[in-house]
Amino acid sequence: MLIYTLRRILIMIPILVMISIVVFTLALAMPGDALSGQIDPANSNPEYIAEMRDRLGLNDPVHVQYARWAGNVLQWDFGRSYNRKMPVTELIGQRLPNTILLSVMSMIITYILAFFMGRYAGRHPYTIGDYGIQGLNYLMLAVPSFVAAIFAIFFFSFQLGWFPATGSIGSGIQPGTMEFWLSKLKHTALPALVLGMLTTASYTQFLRNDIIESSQKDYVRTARAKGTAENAIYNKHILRNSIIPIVTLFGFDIASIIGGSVIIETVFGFPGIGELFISSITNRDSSVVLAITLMLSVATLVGNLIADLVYGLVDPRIRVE
Amino acid sequence: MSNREPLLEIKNLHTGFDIDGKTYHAVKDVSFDVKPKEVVCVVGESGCGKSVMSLSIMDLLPKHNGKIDKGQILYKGKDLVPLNTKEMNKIRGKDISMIFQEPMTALNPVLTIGFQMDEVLVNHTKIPKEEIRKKSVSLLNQVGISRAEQIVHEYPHQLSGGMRQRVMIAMAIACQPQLLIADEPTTALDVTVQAQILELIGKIQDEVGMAVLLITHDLGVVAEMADRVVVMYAGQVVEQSNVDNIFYNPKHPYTKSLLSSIPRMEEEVEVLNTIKGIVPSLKNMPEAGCRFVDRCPEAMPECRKITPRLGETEKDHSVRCILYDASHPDKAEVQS
Repeated sequence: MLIYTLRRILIMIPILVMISIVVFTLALAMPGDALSGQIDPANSNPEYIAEMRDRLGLNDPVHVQYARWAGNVLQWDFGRSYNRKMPVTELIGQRLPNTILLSVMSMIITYILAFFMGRYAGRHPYTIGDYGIQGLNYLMLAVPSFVAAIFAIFFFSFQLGWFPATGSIGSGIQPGTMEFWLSKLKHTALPALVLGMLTTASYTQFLRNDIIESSQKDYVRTARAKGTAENAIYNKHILRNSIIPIVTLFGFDIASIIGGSVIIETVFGFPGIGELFISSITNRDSSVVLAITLMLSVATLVGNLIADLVYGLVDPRIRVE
Repeated sequence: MSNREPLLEIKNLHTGFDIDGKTYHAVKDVSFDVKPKEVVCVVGESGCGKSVMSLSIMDLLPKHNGKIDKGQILYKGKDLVPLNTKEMNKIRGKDISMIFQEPMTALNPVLTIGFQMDEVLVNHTKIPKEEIRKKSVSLLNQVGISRAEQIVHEYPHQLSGGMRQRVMIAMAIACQPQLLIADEPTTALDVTVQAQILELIGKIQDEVGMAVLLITHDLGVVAEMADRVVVMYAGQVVEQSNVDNIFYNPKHPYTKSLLSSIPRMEEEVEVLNTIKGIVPSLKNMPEAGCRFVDRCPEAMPECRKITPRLGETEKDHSVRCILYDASHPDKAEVQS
């Protein structure tokens, strides 16, 4: 188990190197750079701009630029944001807690809703309750997140006034106080609810279908033949088997904890990683784009590893010795 | 022997499946008894309704379309058909238990053998928690599993097919049932393991003193195990008697054909005897006449018109074929 994990981590290194090369090349291939469009050509000397490009090393050959960037990254130096004039690590450090809070809250909402709805629908398939849950699923799958977000802001913020409409913190609150954390939670609740509800559909459907399929398996018949009560059959025999495919989705979720949600964060004006990523791309802030992409790659690889290890926990047949 | 009160009486059992809004009977008017400590074998080809009949007894038919339409299943005089799931759960695994054809899929892959063994004891006994695991281990020892202490911590995929079937047997006998229903328990196993498992069932039957209802299509198994034999064809009982009558004095052409298709060492034949054709499917069951007529070597024109009844031709020997007057609806003396 330990050796398996170590081997998987070692394999990640060449994968990350390849990802970084591809990402770096793509980032440079974007038309324009951090200096284009930012400086009014009528106001400043074009020679000065050219000199700045030279000084920033933007005219060097690609492999020289890559080597310089990679060398810095190895020393945990991701460079400075051209637009926001601060180190990338500090910038991401500001945004990451917001995004993690949002993602974890929405994941909890998703898991709780999907677990209860999926379990009910799977145990009582083709009943009114099941059709109701499925109807809800299709609705949530069909509604685009920006529409749902705007409706949620309209009803819960403007009409009912339960939640703030934008931002991640009220103004003038001292960091670290109880009030600060409560304000954070209050600001995160609405985007988390929208995000969590919309992703419930696939989980619910997965769980429902697997419960229906498992309930026709031979081992369920054996359990019935032993005189096991229906509740125990569903909660022990079937659910333990139906959790297995859910783990695959869980692996993807680990990566999205850090990646955040671009659309929801943008609509809610929520200062998270997703919003930073989009604005950095439009501003050609390549050092930020590169750092976030690399971070997401690591998160995806680690997420897959965790999912594979969790598979072993829930399914003894693929447990690694 | 035959004077004892029957343990299980099946009376006019009709079990059907709903397909496209119509009910098709996989088991039609089946009646027979199982007496205490008796081994009754039900034989017939695949698709004769043997398994459906055994699942009906345990109320394990597929819930969405299978149901018992008519008839009674009396266990010690009490009808099991009207019981709900909760009431059946008190009987299943305790008074009547069952083992299945496929030991590979009959155990839950993600639960330990120990958990699955303990479960049946937790369901039906008041043994304290600490004692239950000990009891499970001793049951596993009883069915010939030597490493029982370790096996309770293992998962089904770590065991061979024969071992899994032994685990199934251990679970089935845990509460000392009166009746064990074994639905083709050896079909999926290697020939050498088959013999061991049958021997084990025979040994346990002696020890526990239970009756066994053995569903099989292997006449060798029948000869070895059975006290009584029920021959089923296309959802009906076509002949039933004690094992000697069935083997030495078979009456129904179907039983005769089954017996003649056993390969024999002492006779040199070029071609193995087979019964031509297949069992009619549920949807193509003939309405009137004998259901075996298309494959019967002794078929007569009347066989297509006259529906035979199960009639007692001799004492303790019933046949459903109009060759025998007792089965002919017009010739037989009126029975109740």
